Formats: sequence, structure tokens, C-alpha cells
Amino acid sequence: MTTKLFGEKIQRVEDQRFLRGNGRYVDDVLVGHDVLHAAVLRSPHAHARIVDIDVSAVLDLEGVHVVWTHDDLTGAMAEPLPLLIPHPQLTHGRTQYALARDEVNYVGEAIAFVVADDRYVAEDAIGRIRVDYEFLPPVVGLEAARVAEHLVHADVPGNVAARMEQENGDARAAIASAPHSLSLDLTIERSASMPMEGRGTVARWDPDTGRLTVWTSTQTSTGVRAAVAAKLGLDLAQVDVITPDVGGGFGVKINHPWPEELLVPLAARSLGRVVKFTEDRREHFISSAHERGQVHHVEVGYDDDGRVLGLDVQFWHDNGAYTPYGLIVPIITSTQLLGPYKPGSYRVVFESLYTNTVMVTPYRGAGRPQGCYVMERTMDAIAAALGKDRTEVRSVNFIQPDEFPYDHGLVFQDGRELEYDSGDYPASLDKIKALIGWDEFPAYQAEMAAQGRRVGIGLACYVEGTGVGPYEGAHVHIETTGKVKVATGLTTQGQGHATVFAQLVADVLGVPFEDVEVVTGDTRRMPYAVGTFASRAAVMSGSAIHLAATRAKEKVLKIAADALEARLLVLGDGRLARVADRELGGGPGRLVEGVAQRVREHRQRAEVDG
Amino acid sequence: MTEELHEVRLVVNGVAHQVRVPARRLLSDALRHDLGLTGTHVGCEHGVCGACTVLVDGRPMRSCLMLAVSAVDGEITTVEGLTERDGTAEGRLGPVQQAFAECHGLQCGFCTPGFLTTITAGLRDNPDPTEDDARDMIAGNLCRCTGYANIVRSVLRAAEIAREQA
Repeated sequence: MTTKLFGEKIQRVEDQRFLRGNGRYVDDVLVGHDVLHAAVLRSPHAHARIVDIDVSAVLDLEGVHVVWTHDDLTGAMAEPLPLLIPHPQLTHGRTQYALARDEVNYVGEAIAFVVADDRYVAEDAIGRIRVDYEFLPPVVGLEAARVAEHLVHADVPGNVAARMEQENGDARAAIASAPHSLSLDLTIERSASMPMEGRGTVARWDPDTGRLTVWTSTQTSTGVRAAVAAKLGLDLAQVDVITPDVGGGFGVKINHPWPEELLVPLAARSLGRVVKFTEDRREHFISSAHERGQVHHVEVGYDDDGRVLGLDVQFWHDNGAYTPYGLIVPIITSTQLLGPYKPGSYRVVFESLYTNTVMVTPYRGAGRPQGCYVMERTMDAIAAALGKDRTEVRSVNFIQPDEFPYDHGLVFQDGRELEYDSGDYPASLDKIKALIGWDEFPAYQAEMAAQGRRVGIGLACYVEGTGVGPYEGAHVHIETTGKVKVATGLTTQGQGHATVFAQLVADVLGVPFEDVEVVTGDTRRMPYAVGTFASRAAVMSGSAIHLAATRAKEKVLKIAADALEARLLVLGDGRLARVADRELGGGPGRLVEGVAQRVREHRQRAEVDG
Repeated sequence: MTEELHEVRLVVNGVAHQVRVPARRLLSDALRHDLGLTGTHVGCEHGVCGACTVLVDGRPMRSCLMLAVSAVDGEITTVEGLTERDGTAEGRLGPVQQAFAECHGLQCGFCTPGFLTTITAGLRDNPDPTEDDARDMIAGNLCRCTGYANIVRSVLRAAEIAREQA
């Protein structure tokens, strides 16, 4: 057998093209070909009624091919964008239109779409469109949203998109009867995903085959494919979505479809020309997505050791103007807040509120940083109130190693029980204390104080629910040349999938690493997938690829064994080796020549392939 | 509204190109879309992120803040020009590129070309940087994936490789 590759440190196959400037990102697609460029007119106002849009100054501009507003959209394209992840508690979910109809609800909301010879001309055209607005009072910040003097959506009372409550035990009673209690108010401001490469989409319609090819910088090519097909009235089989190299996602590219992911393909089909949209940084700042913005109120009751007897958390989540991604972020906050701890009882209530700001997508941590912040501040506050070491208070609240699997009695974001499979939190804490020199720190602090320097130390513990389902698939194909082609549907934003997955397959099939080629995020090669988020690619696609490679190996051995009338064969060094069939004249480990020809002609091949 | 076009001669990676561009065309767009040299990436379009950095007469310049018509007199080096001739079609990785490969100094690769060009110029000025020097050298470039630790290591390793090759 070849040396085991899985887990070995090897150079990434992706790096050669990235380092040589040969990466292929979405704005690089079809460079040098006849490509038209799109630009979008975005609202300069947070909340306004659109009285009139005058595009007359643009219609005759040389080099302009398309000027669309909502009035130009028909059928499904004129309907709101999909609400991707509905939830029973999301009683007032709202999504935007591809181009605003009647009203804009955040600065940056798309109003008009222009396609021109190049981006410069497209932006010139955008500058000539005149929009009459009737200003509406904007709702900015959670306080204004809660007060609800003004509404973001006239038909959403109190600006409340959702209210959700989970409880395990009777937290309020436990707090009331606890020896000690505290309350804290904790606020986190908004932040943005901000990948180095913004969003971008290229589309080409082929009238001869009736197929649409879409390249888009996304974390889910299959999701975009489904949306494009549904919105443009095409069969799924008529739409190919290819995710080329992606310059970072961080959550903003898991939301889909963005307006441009529909408008660009629509324009490409209408014009019969290649159309490209490349988001610029200003657009990304004002019109993509945010996360994090939440206000939390904590009530906690605890005993003399700092053991939490009851924890009652209320928080308010700023979901922006629309809720395409449902309640994923606040649900993660509300459940993952508990981290490695086991409060005697826990109640959490949140409201997801509308404001006149960009929407929320799960960004790097996806609600978990907020939860961790709240819990760890609470632990520090208990320690401070009791005059105890912060690690001691954490320690007494840990789930113990012999308590796994541990069921928190809550429902996680994927609709399943929040159950931890395993862990040893005391060991982790001991390790970090040793590494950071926790117990020696007071002496160091005194030493620094003598020099007039003030130094501090802090720590935080968290548990992260990753590798979420529900599924990924894989296709493993062994070419007659011996090269192995592997495809999985989720996308890649620099994680090194092409390297890691090739390691897996090379190990299973016993072929050289260099002979394995991995394709991700291309619906032509693997049309069934979810996407890349929550550290799930290696777990989900890695497992699928391992299973598929194992199946392929079984097929190879079954056919070959029968064709060669040999009983025991193994794969190694990229070739079949007969281990123990002396009748054919081979010894252990001897390579069998002419296998390919004999297998090709074998009658069972079709049966096994089926 | 027909824009006046200018004949511009751009010398990029030792090769002279003739392009006809409007005065407002950015050097970054001319390199990428007119010359097809898509290795230079555009991250922020206002000089902050450094992804579009190219060398003009050996000095790092933001190609998103420079007009193509103003680059006529310079010798431009892009990421595609950092590989070294070794008789193969693709060439051999230059010291900085090689160091990034060895130190895992990149993930998504989008910011990488700007780092490679910036560090190439930086090591020419300071062939023996300390870790602080390395951090200072890359202070004008943003990366969202790596957290910079491996990029700093790459700078130090690149200096080593360059010395080994000298």
C-alpha cells in the first residue's frame, strides 16, 4: 500500500495557481471575451416610499443595453425573494424584491439594474436615473425597534419578526430561591462579513442547447441553481451553476439568491450576451449583510460556590429590514450560549426585530460569539461578586466528563436536540491554565505593577456546534487512465478541499495523490448539495467522499476478482495487486498485468456499475 | 457620449502592450480586463486593502488608485511576473511565492497577489527583516482568512530563501 496520506502535512494543490496569479475568481471568468457589465442603483435612504423612477435619461445612452426597475419584472421575478429557512416562530417573515417595489427599507436596497458595455458606462447610467422618494421615518437600532414608535413594515406590529422561548426547568423560580443573584445588560454592535472578494455573478445563455451557465461567488451553488431555475421558469436541468475560486465567504455568500444572482442570468438570457456583475466594496458595505447586533438582559441565581442554579436570558436580535435566513442566528445564540456549562435551569427568550438596515446572514460564528460573550461575562460577574477565581466558578459549572452524552433539553438551529456527544472540559481548562500561566499570573502582575505597568488576563470557554447536516454527496469516478475524478457539491472559499479530499481518496483507492482531481461547487459534476458553512465540509463532504471512494474500491475489486478468477485482491500503488492467488502464478503482492483490458471486457461490469 | 480613447503603451512583466483606453480607466482594470492579467485582484477600490498592489519601477503601487494612462512610463510587475524562468512553461516560484507555499501563508488566495508584490519590494529594501519589520512590511495589506501569523512567517522564510539563492 501507499503511505497513508490522511492527516499528513502536505503542500496544498490549490496554492500553485493562487501563487502564480492563475486563480479563477468570478470576475476573472470570460475576461477577454465579449462581456457586458451590470451596475445597480441602490437606495440612498434608509426608509422611503418610491413615488416615481425616471429612467428616460438612460434609455438612449450609447453602450447601455438594459435598464430595469421592478415594473420591468414579470412572473416569479416580480415576487419577493425566497424566505430560505422558515420557522414556526417566524410569524412575520419578510423578504425583499429583486428590485424594490414601492418602498425601500435600507440604504443600499436595489432599485434599478443597468447592463452596459462596461462597468464605467453602467455606473454613468445609474447616475442619470432619477428617483422621487417620499421619506418615511427610519427605525435604526434595537432601542427604536423595541419602542416601535415607527414601523419598518406597516403590517408588522411592534417590528417583531419572531418571538421564541425555550426553557429547561423553572429558571425564574430557581433564581428567586437562590442564595445570590445578579443581573447584567450586555450589548454587542453589528459587524460585517467583509470577504476580500465581494459578491459577483456571470451568466451565459446558450440558445442552441437551451442552457444557462451561471458562475457565482457563493457558498451554495446548488441553492443558487434552484433559485435561478425557479425564478426564471427554467427546468433545474437547464441551469448549471459553477462556483469558481471564491475570495472568502464568511457567511455573506451563504445567503441566496442575491438580487444580482437572478438579474444577471435574466439579462443574459434576454440579451443573448454574457453579463457580469462584480460588486464593489462600497456596495458591499452598504448593501450586503451584517450580523451580531444584539442586546441581552441576564438574570442569574447561584450558590456560594458560584454554581448557577437558574439562568434567565432575554435578548433582542436586530435582523435588519428582511429575514431571508430565518432565525438561525438568534437560535444559535440562545442555545450555544450555554457553552460547556450546565445551569440548574435555563430559560431564554428572544425577539427578532426589524430595523431599517441591511439584513443579517450568519457571519463567522453565527450568533455563537454573542452567546459566548453573555455567558462568559456572567461567569466573570459571579466570580467578582463572590471574590472567587474566575476559573473556579467556571469549573464548578462544567458538564463533567462522565455526564456525556449530555442533553441540554433544548432544540438546536437544525431542529434537533442540543445534545453534546463528548468532552472533557476540566482537562481543557487545566491545559489552558498551564499554557497561559494562570496560577502564576498574580506574581507577574505584581512584578509588572512594580515597574508601573498594568497587565490583565482573561479567559473564555465555549462549545461550538459544527459539521451540521443534513447531507452532502460525492461522486468518485475512476478513469480508464487510472486518474480519479472526485466531485462534491459544496463550495470552496480557500479551505483547501481539493487537497484534503484528494488525500482521503488516495488513501482509500491506493492511488498517487497527484492522480486524484477534486471538483467542488459545480452543479454539472454534483447537483445535490447544501453548502459550505459551520465547519461542515470535511465532516459532511469528507465523509461522503470516503464512502463513495470505498464503494468504488469495492466495485473495482469485485469486477477484477471475477474477471481474473482470483479470490483476494488489494489495491495499492495505483494498481491492482493479487495477494494470494497462486493458481495464476503470482505471489503475494505481485502486480497483475493486463487488468484493464480484462476488466473492460468483463460481463459483470455493467451489473456492478448499475 | 463617445469617450475619447488614448493609445497607451504598458510594459508589464517585461512585455510591451498597446491598449486603447479612456483616460478614466484604472490601471487595475486595464491589467485585468484589457490585458487579461487577472492575477491582480481588486478588493476595496480605495487604496485600503492592498490586494491590487503591483510594482511600478520596483515600487509598490495601488493599481486601483492609478490611471492606466499615468502608467505609460513605468515598468510594471504583477504577480504573474514574480515567477522565475527555469526552462519550464510555468516557471519556478519566486522566493516570496515559495515561502507562502511552505508556510501556508494563504487560504482563499484573493489577497495573496498584493502581499507577494509588496513583500517582494519590501525584501529588496530590507533583505534581513526582523519579525517586527515583517509586520511593518505587510501593514498596508489586508487578509481576512489567515490572521497574518503565517504571512509574517512567510516574509521571514522568503528572506531566507532569497539568501540561500543569492
